[in-house]
Amino acid sequence: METNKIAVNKLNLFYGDFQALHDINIEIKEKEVTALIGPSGCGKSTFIRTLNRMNDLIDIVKIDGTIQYDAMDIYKQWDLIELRKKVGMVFQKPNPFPMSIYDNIAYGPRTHGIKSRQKLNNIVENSLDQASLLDEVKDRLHKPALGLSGGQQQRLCIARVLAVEPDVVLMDEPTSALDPISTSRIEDLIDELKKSYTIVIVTHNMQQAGRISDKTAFFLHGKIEEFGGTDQIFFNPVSSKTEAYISGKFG
Amino acid sequence: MIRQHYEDELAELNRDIMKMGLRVEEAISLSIEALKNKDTDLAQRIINDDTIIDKMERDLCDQCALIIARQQPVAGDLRHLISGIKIITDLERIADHAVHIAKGTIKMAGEEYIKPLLDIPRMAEMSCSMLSRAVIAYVEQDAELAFKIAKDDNIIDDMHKQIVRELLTYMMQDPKKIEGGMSLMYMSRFMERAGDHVRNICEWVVFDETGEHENL
Repeated sequence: METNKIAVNKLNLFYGDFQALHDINIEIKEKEVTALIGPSGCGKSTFIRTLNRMNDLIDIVKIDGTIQYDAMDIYKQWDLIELRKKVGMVFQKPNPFPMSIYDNIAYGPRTHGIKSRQKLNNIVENSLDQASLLDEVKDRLHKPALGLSGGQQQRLCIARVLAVEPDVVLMDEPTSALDPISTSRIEDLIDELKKSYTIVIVTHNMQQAGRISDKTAFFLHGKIEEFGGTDQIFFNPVSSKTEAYISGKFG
Repeated sequence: MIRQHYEDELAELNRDIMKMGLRVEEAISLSIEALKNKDTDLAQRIINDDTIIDKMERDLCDQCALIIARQQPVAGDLRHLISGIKIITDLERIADHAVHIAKGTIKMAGEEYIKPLLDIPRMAEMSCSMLSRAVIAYVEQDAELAFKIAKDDNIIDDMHKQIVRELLTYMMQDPKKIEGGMSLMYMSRFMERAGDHVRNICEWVVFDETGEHENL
């Protein structure tokens, strides 16, 4: 159970001359929820984006150090398409494609070459079911996804990630645009999904980290100030800065 | 149901407090068995097993603290957790009284009791019944039941007063009985204190449900 899914070693990241991440070392365990918390600009979103090489899209980004996924270097040994399939991402604002609910989910599998209608039907149904959205949309799969509520759209985006059978799901503030009820539903969903997936979640809401994660990393000024079990971080943190942040005294 | 994980944690806490309650109840009733039968082996076992109850208290305290730290409970849930933390302290103290009785049993093992043991076992029986109902009242957040249980403590208090009077009479008649009389008086006092702790538990159950501190 305690296998390393992702191992980051001495990671430094620069936007041009500005160093955004300093000497990051972290091990992310399989089938656990790891939460990344910290004040704005601390590097947590930059960090999560390195895990499936989203920062490749930004020209001025320079990276040194290593990131291994399943014990293979994600820059040197993993094919980018394959990596992004295995390590999926859910963003802050729900971003369904302007097409039907069904086509949103089927988009990824189709891109990966699945054409059989039956197979696609199964994938769509399973993914929606895993994202606990199926019951709400099963009668309108061919209606536009943009007609769903914000919370439903976000669960659709999660279903869309699950449809390509990932191994790791990265979530960058997945509930910050949602109301409290939708947020609770997503949190319950994360608790359910961790039985099958490894989850890394960036959250501005440290209470959310407390509620849903197994491990918590507190980022500050581009460094990991403290990383440990969420029980320990929220009950007895080692660093006084961590304590001040989780107590709401700064940030 | 939303926040399923949180609900599960609260349910688990209730279950664990019930387990601790059962264990404490067992310690009290076994300690009286040991006293009645002058069973020093059983008494020693109760003394040894008290560490298990102490550990339960510490673990439950951490369990409550972690739920507070991670789930930020408010209102009724917060009161339930605070009451839980207070109640486990009373449970642990009740178990300590079982240990005191066990120690007394060992000390008095070679002596004849100066009077037959009738009322003290009755007090213990009553404390155990109050205790198990009080834990149920906590889990079910039933303040009405807590009020009823607390009233029963008056009966235990009266029994204690009566035992003291009776033992004083024996001791005045024959000063050689003072040591034995004092020992039994302590036993009665331990049971009377156990009843007081159950009454405290009842007060926390009332706080849990109503948010009011009542002197029951």
